[in-house]
Amino acid sequence: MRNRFILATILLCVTAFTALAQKGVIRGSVRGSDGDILSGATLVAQSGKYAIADADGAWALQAKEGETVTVSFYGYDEQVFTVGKQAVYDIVLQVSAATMLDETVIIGYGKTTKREVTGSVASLKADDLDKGSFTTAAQMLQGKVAGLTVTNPNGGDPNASYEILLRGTNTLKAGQGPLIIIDGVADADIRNINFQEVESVDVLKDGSAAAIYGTRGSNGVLIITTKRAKAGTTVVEYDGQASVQTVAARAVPMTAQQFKDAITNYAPTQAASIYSGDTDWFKEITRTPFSHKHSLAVSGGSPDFSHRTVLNVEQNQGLQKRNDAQKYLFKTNIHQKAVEGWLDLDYNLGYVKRSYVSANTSVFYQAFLHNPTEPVYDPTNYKYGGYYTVNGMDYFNPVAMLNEYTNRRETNSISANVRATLNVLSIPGLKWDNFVSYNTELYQAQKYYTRYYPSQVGKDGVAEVSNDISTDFQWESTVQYSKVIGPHSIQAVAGYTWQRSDYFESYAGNYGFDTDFYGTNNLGLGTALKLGLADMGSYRSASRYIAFFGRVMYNYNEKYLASVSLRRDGSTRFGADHKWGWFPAASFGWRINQEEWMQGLHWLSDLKLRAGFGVTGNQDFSNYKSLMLMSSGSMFFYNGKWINSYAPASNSNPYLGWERKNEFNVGIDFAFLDNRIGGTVDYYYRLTTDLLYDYVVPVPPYDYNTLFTNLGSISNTGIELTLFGTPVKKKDLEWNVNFTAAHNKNKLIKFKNKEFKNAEYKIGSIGDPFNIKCQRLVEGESLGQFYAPIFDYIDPVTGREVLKDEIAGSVAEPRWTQIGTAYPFATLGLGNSVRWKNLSVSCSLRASLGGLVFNSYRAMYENTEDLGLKNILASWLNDTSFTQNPVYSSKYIENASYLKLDNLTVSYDIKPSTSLVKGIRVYLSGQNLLCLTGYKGVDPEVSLSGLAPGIEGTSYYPRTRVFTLGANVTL
Amino acid sequence: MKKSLYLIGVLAAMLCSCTNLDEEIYSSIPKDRFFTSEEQFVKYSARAYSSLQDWGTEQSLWTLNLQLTNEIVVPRNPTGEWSQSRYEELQFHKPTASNNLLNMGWEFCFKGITACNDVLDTVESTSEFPGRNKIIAEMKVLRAYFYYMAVSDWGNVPYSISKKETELPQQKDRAFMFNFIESDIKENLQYLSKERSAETYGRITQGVAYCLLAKLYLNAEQWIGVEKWTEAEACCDSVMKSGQYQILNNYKDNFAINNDNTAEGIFAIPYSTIYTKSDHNAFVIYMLTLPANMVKPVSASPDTNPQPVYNLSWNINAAPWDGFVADPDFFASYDPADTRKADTWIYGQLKDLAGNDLTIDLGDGPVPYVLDAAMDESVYTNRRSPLQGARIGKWPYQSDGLLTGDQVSMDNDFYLMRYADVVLMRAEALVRLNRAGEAAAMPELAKIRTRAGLAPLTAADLTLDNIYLERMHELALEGWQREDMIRFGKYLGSWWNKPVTTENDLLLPIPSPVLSANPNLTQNPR
Repeated sequence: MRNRFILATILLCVTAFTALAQKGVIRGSVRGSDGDILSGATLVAQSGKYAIADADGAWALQAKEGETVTVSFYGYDEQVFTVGKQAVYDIVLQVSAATMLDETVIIGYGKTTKREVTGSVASLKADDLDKGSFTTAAQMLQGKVAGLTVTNPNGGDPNASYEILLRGTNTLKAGQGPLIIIDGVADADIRNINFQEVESVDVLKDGSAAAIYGTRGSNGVLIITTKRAKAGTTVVEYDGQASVQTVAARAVPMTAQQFKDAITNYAPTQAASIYSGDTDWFKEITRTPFSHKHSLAVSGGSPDFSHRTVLNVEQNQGLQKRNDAQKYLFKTNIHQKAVEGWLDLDYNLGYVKRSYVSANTSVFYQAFLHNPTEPVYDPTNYKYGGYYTVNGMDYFNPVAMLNEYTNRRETNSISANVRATLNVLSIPGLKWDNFVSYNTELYQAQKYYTRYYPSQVGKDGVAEVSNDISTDFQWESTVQYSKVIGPHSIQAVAGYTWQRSDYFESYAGNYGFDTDFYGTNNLGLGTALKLGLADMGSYRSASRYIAFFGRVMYNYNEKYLASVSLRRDGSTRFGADHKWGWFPAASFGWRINQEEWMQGLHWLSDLKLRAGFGVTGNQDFSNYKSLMLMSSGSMFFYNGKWINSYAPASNSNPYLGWERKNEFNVGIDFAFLDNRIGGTVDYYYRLTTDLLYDYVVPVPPYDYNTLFTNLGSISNTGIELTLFGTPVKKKDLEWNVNFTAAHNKNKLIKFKNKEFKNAEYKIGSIGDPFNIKCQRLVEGESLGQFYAPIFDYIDPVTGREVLKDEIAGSVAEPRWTQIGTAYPFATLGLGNSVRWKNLSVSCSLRASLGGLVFNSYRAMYENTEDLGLKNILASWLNDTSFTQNPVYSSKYIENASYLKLDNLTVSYDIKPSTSLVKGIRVYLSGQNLLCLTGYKGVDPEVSLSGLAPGIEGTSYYPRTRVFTLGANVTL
Repeated sequence: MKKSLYLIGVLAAMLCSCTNLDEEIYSSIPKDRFFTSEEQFVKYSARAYSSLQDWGTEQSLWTLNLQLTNEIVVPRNPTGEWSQSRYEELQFHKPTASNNLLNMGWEFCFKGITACNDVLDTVESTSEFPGRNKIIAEMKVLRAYFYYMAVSDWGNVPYSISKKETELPQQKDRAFMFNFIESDIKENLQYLSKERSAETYGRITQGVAYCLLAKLYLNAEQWIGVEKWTEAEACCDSVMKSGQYQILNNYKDNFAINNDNTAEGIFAIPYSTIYTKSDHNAFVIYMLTLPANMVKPVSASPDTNPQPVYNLSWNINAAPWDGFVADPDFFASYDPADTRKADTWIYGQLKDLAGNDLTIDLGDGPVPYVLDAAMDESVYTNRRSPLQGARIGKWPYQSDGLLTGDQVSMDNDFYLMRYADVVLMRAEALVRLNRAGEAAAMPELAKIRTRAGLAPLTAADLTLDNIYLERMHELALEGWQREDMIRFGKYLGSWWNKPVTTENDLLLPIPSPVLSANPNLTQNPR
C-alpha cells in the first residue's frame, strides 16, 4: 500500500516537467534597494514558469501580458508586478523591514510568528546556537533556552549522550527527555543529524504548546529543522574542522613518591604494597585526542524542483586510548511542486553509519586507585599476558583492561520519508498534508575480552555479539485551513497519526577459544558452547501509538490571540480499559501595544501578555506492563532432567493508566526601541498526577515486591527570564547579547494512598564502604533530597570524623538530617557576539547556582582506609590528621554551584576576489574553557535526571577542553 | 478487478486497525495461553522448587544464618575488603533492619511462599487430573518448609495462603504459625510419595514432611513453650522405619561434586554448573571463602611467575573474594580424632593440584603457605594475614576449570535435610525423654560416630551437651546450627568475638523494606 503511494507520487513528478516555449519572453535585472546585485533571486510567473537571476542579476522569463510575476530574494521584501507591453523590467527589491517579530515559530503541525504565538515557545535560529565542534546537536543548546538544561554526564567521551531536562523533573519512573522531532519525524535520534545542518530549533515549553503532541509532550517538545532544499543557482558549501582536546579536570591520586611516603609515615603495616615502579596510570591510559570533521552540502534547483544533499564524515578520538567514534552521514532532501501548484512533494532520504569503540569507564576508576609503585608490565608474566599483576578484589591492571578488551559498536540507520501536500487551490487556504516515514536502525555490538583481560583470565577469550533491529513507521495525515476575513484570522488543523515501533534483538556469547586471533568472528569455536555454558537468546517487542487531534488558532487584528487544541491519544502500553486519554489545551494572547491607547509609545515595539493551560501525558516506559505474562525462570531438576520453570514476568497491573501533567503558564513578551532590546518572562505551575512508579508491595500476596502503578503527584513551579539586546548596530560594528535565567521548585506532593502507605522511599545507593542510600523520596519535599548525619570535626586525638549528636560514634539513619536538594536554585546563560567588519567574536557563559552534589571520590578515597593495595586522593595529604575509616556524613555533600565558559569563538570572513568562491569563513573555537566552582570533586555538573540526581560517580569520564580550527567555504 | 478487491480489502483492514491498540506479544506468553496441558500444570510447580536455589548465593538465608552462628566469621581480609558493616553487625547480633542479608533471607522464604501460593491457586482452579492431589500436597508442604524457616528466624510473620487475597497479610505469632505448619504437613502427608527415587529427587516426599515435622516438634519448647519430644521422636521414627534411607559409609559422599540422590539424602537442592547459572540461583561458596593470594608455582611449570592460589590449588578460573573463614572457637572444638574437621575445613599446608606444597612471599621471602585457623579478634579492625583463617571445604571444589565467577554454580547438590540429622534428632528427643539407652542402641548413631573416626557414644556419653557437639560437627554449615544453638541454650552466650546478648536477639528484625510495604507488620522488639 505504502509503496504504491510512493510510486504514484514519483509518476506525478515526472509529468510535471514541461518544456519551455520560446515565445513571449520578458527579461531584465534585479537589484536591491541597497544597490546589491541580487544574483539568485527567483521570478515566478502565474503559470508556474520561473527564472533565476544570474551572477549579474540578469534574467529572462516566459510570460504573457497581464500575467503577474513574483520576485523574491532572502532578506528583501517580495515584489509582484504585472507583465505589460514592454519586454524589459529592471526590478528593485526593498531591503526587508521584517523584524524579529516576523520570525517564524514552528509550533507542531503548523507555524506562526513570534508576534502571534500564544504558548511558551523558544525559537532558536542557527546563528543563536554555539559554534564549535560538537558530538551531537544537543550540545549547542546548552544555556540557550531558559528552563532547558542540557547536561553531559559522560565528560569527554565522543559517544556521550546528553541529558535534556525541561522545567524540572515531572515524573518518577517514566522517561524524562523531551520529544524530539526532526524534520517531522517524531522520536528521532538527535545523534543522527549533522550539527552543522541545524537551521532552527523550536522548544515547546508549556503544556498549552506541547499538548498538541499529547502523550509525548509532557517533557516538552524539541522541533529541529535542518537546512532544506532551496531554489537558486547551485551552491556548494564545505565545512571542515580539526580539533584537539586537553583534560579539564580529573580526580588526582598520589604520585609514586607521595604514595611511598604516605605508606611509610601513615600505614607502615602496608609496606609490602610498595613495589619498584613509578607509574602515572592516568597517563598510561589517555592521549591527546585529535578529531576532524568534514561536511559537504550541495543545493540548488528551480522553484519547481530543488534539492539539498549533504555528506558528512567525522573521525573523533576519545581521551581514553582506543575509544573513538566515526560517523558517515548521507542525506538528501528533494522538494518538488507539481500539478500546477496543487501538489507539494518533499522527499527525504538519509543514511547514517556510526561506528565506534565504546569507552571502558571503569578503566578510569581503576587507573585512579591503582598502586603507582606497580610497574605496568612484567614481560615474564606469561599467564597474564606480560602485565604486572597484583590480585585484589575488584582490582585490575588498567592498561591490561584497556588493551585486552574491544567493545566495538556500529549503528546503521536508514530513514526515508515523503510529505505530500495537496494545496486545494480552488479553496484558498486549504491543504491536505500526508506524511509517511520509515526508519530502521541496525545496531551491532561486538565485544571481545582476550585471554589476558584481567577479570577473565582462565576463560581463554570471551566473545559476545548482539544485533538489534529497531524499526519505526509513522503515518500522519492533517488537513489545514487558514482564512483571513477583515480583522479576523483563523488557522485550523485536524489530523490523525499512527505509529508502530518494533524491536528485535538477538545475542550470543561464547568463550574458550584456541587463540585471540578470531575475536568475535568465529563464535562457534569456543569450548563453552560444547560444554553447555555459552549464552544465546533473542527478544522482540512492539508497540503502537495512535492519535486524533485538532487545533484552532484565531486572532483579531493581531491584537487578541487565541489557540485551542484537543488531542485523543491511544497507546498499547496501558491496561485494556485505559488505553485512551484526552489532552486538551487553550492559550490566549493580548498584544497590549496594539491597543489604541498605546499607539503613542513609539519606543515600544511589542508588549504581549500570554496565558495558557494544557494537559499532556507520558507513556515513555517499557511495553507489556499491564499484562499477565509468563516468562521462563530458573531451571529445575525434574525427574532426572533439567527443565525450565515458568513464573509471571512481573506483577501485572490491568489498571495501568496515563500519567497526566496539567500545566498553567503565564508570560509577557516585550521589545523596545525597534526590537533592539526585548525579552520574555514566564511563570509556570506544572502538576503531574497519577504518577507512575514502582510502588513497594508485600510478597506475598504479590509475586514481586514492586507494582508499577499510578498513584502520586508532583509539582514544579518556576520562573524563566530571557533578555536579548543589540547595544550596538552599525555597519561595521554589531554587538548582540542574550541572557537566560530560570528557577524551578520541585515538590513531591503525594506519594501514598490507602493501599500504598509508604510515604518515604530511600534511594541513591552509595556503595562500599558506606552501603547506604543518600536520598529519600518524602511527601512534601523536593526530589533529590540528601539526608545525612552532620559532620562536625576531625578528632585530632583519634583521627576520626566526629558527627553532630552522635551516639557511640554514629548517628542512626532515622536521625539523619535533611541536607538539601541536588537541584540548583537557578540556572543562567549569557551569550555575547560582537562583529567588527569581517571579524566576529562570540562567547557563551553558563552558571548553575545552588544545588548539592555527592562527592564519591572524596568520600571513598580522601582517607587511608584503602591505602596500601590501592591509591588514594592526593588531597588527603592536605589534612593528614584524618586517619580513620570514613563515615557517611554531610562532609561529602557539597555545593554544586558553578560558572562555566562553554564556548569562545573567533571567526573571520574573507571576501574572495574571485567570483568562483562566494565566501570563506575561518574560525577558531574553544569549548569548556573554564569552570569556576567551590566543589572539590571533578566536575559539579553531574546528571540531574532520574530519581537520585546529583551523585558524581567514580567511573567518570573526565571532561575535556576542546580547541577547534575550522573553515567554511561557499562556492 | 482482483486488484481493486485487494485494494479495498487493504483499505478496510487499515480502517479497522486505525484505532486498534491490542498489544503484540512475542517473547513472553500470556498466562491464559500457557496452561494448555496437564504436564504444564505439573511443571509449573518447578517455579516453587527452583526458588530454593537462592539458598547457595552470596547473600541468602543460608549465609545470613552462617553469620549468626559460631560457624563462620568474616573479618577484614588481607587486601582490606569485607569491611562492610552488614557482616560485622550480624556476627555481633546487632543487625539493623536495613541489613541486606536480612532482606535476602526474608525474600528466600516469602518468594518461595508466594510461588507455592501461585501454583496452588493455579492448580486448585483446574479440574481433576491424575497427580493433582500430589502436586497440591507437595506445594503445601514446601510452603510449610518456607514458613518454618521464616518463623525460625523472625517468629512473627505475615500470613498469606493465596494470591487471591486482596487485603495486605496480617502478622501472626509463633503459636498460630506452629499450628498452621503442623496441620498443613499432617493433612497432606498421605498424598506424598513414600519413595526416595530419581523422580522424587529434589522434591517433597513423606521423608521430607516427617523430617520437617520432627524439627517443628523439637523446637516447640522454644517456640511455643510446649514440649513435643514424643511427637518429634515419632516423626524421626517414621523416617527411620520407611526403609528409604541409610547412613553412608563415607561422610564425604554426601557433599561430593556428583552427589545426586544419595541414600542419606532426604531433601536436596540440585545445582548444576550448566543449568543453574545466575546471581540468584548458583551455589557459589567457593567465591565467598577461597583465598586469592599470588603464590609461586612449584618449579615444574615453565611459567614460574606468581599465580593465584585458587588457580594452582583448585583450578578455579575466577578471583574468589577471600571472605568466609572458620570461627576459631568452632574450629578448636573438634576432637583431634574427628575426621569431619578435615572434611569440613581447609587448613594447614596448601598444595597445588599435583600435591606439591605451596609457598607464599609476604615480603620477606617465601614461607610455607600454611593456613592457621587461629586469629585474634583485632582482625576485625585491622586485617587478617593471608595465612590466617581456615576455609570452607565441605563441598569439594571441581577442578575442571569451569568455575569462572559468582554466577557459575558448583555442581555439588546441597542437602537441606539428611538422614544423619534425623538420627541425631531422634537421639536428642530420646535423651530429653530420659531414654538415652534407646538412643545409644541405634546402630545409625554409632555409624555416624565411627565413620568420623570416633567411638560410639554410650548411654552415659549421651548428654545434651554431647549431642549438641555431635550435631555441630556432623551438620556443620548445613544451615541448622542457629536453631540448635537456641535449643541447646548457647545462642545468647559469648563465643570468639560475639558478646553476650539478650532474649530479644533470639528473633531477627523484620527487614525495613518489608515493614514499609505492609503496615500490618510490627517490628520485633529489640
